[in-house]
Amino acid sequence: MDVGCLKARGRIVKAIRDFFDKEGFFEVETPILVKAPDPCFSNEVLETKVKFKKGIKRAFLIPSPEIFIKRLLANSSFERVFEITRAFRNNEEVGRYHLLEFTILEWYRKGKDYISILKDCEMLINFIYQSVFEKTVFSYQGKEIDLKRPWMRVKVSEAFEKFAGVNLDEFLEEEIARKIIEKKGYQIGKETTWEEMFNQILLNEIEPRLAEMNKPVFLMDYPLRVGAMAKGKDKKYVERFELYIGGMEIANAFSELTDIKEQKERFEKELEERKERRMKLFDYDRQFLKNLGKIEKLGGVALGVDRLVMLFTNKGDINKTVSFGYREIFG
Amino acid sequence: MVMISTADFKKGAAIIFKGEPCLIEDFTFVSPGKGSAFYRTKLRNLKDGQVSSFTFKSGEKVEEAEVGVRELQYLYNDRDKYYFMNPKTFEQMELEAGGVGDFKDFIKGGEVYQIYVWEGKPVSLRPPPKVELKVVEAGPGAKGDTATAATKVVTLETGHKVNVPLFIKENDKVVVNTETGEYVSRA
Repeated sequence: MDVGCLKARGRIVKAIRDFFDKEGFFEVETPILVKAPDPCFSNEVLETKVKFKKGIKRAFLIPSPEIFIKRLLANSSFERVFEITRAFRNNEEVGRYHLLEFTILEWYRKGKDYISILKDCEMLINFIYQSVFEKTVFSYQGKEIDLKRPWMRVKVSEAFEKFAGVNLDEFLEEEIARKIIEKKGYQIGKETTWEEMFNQILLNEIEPRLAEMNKPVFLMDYPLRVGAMAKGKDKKYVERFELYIGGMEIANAFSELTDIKEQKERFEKELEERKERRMKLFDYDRQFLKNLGKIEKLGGVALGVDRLVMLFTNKGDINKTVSFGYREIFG
Repeated sequence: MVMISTADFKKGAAIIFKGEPCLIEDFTFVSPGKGSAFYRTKLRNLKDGQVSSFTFKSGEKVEEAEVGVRELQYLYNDRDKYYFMNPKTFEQMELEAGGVGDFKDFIKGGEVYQIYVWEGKPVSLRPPPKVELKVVEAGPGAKGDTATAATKVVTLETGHKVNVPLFIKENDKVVVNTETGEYVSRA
C-alpha cells in the first residue's frame, strides 16, 4: 500500500468534484448492478445472480455507467451531470494498465458535442494538476509532459497516413486491410477481425509515436466500425476521440449517438459479435433505447481515474494507485 | 520448432522475432478502446542488445528460441571478435563484438561471464549488473573546485574512465553499475 499515492488520489478526486461544481455540473449516482449491461465492449462482463420473490435473475456489473446516466438525462431536466463510480471489466488477465474493478469518471453535456468535451478535458486536467501539485509540467516515467493548452489534435486518418503510411479510407475495406497487414508482416488468421487489424497498426505504429509527444494528444474521428456509441461524422467516421497522455489512453469521448434506430442496429451487431466469439449473451436495455429519443444532442466522456493517478504520481503499474491491488485481493 | 502462444509469454523467455533471437524483457496485457486483447512486450535482440517493443495480438504464435546460458572465461579480443574459453573443456569460442555491446568498457581478461548461446554459437554477453574493478590511475583531483560536486576522473584497469569521489586512490577497487556506467561505491 502506497500511502503517498493514496493521499494524492484523494486530492485528485476532490479536485475533480471541485472542478465540476465550479462548472455547474450536478453529481449523480447510477446503478452498478444491472440487468442489461452495455454490450459495446469485447471485455467480458461480470455476472451474478439476484434472488427475487419470482425467482432468480441474472444480473451484471456495469462495464461503464453510460447507459444509466443517459437514462437519467433523458428523464430529467439536468443539463450537465458527472459521476465518479466503479466499473468492472473482466479481461481474464492482469496487466499494468487494467484493473478488474476500476474508477471511472463520466460527464455529459446536453446540447453539446465532443469538441466541448475536448475543451473540458483540457480544463479539468489542468485544474486538477494545478490545484493538487501547483504546476503545469510534470514528468511521467522519465518523460516530461507539458499540460499547457491547447493540446494536440490528430485525426486517426492523419495518424495512419503519417506514422504508418496507410490510407485509412482504403484500410476500411476488409480485404484491403488484410493485404496491408500481411504486407507489413503482422500475423493474421482467418478469425482475425478488422478491429484487431486496426489495433495492430494503432498499437505498434501509432501509439508509440503518441507516447513521444511532450503534450497530451487527442486522437480524433474514429472509423465507424470502432464507433461504439458515437454519432456519425460522415458515412465512414464517427465523432469520437481518445485522449492520450504519456502514451497512455486516459479518456474516450463521443458526440453521443441519439438515433434510436442506429443505436439498436449497433447493439444487435455487438451482440451478434459476442455470439460469434462465444461470449456471454444478454438482452440490451430496451428502456434505454426508448429514452434515447428524448435527447437531441449530447456530448459525453469516460475517463479512467486510476490512470490519471498513475500519471500524476508517476506509477508504472495501475495496481499501485489503489488501496488494494489485484495481488492483495485475489493473490 | 516449438511454437509458443502469447499466453505462454513470461519474462526471460526467448523467442525468434523477425528472424532474430530475442529475450522477452517485459510484457503486459493491454486492451485498447473497445477491447480486443493484446500483449505489449519489450524485446531485447540477443545479437546486438537492441531493445524494441512490439504488441502482439492475443493468441499469436511465435517460435521459441532455444537459448542457453554458458559460463565462459574471457581471453582476449581483436577488432571484430571476443574470444572465450569453456573453463571445463578448454574449448575456445568466439563472439562478435556487437554481442558484447557497451560492456566492452568493463570486460576483463580471465574473468568468467555468462554468455547466451543460440544454435550452438555464442550470441551475446549477459552483463552482470555491477562489476568490481581496480583503479590504475587516479589524479589528485582539481583543488578548490568544489562546484562540480567534488568528483574526479580515474582510469580503471580495463582502460575505461569513470567519475568517482575525491577520496578514491590508485589501486582502490570500485564498484560500477554496468547499465548506467556510473560509480556506485568503493569495494
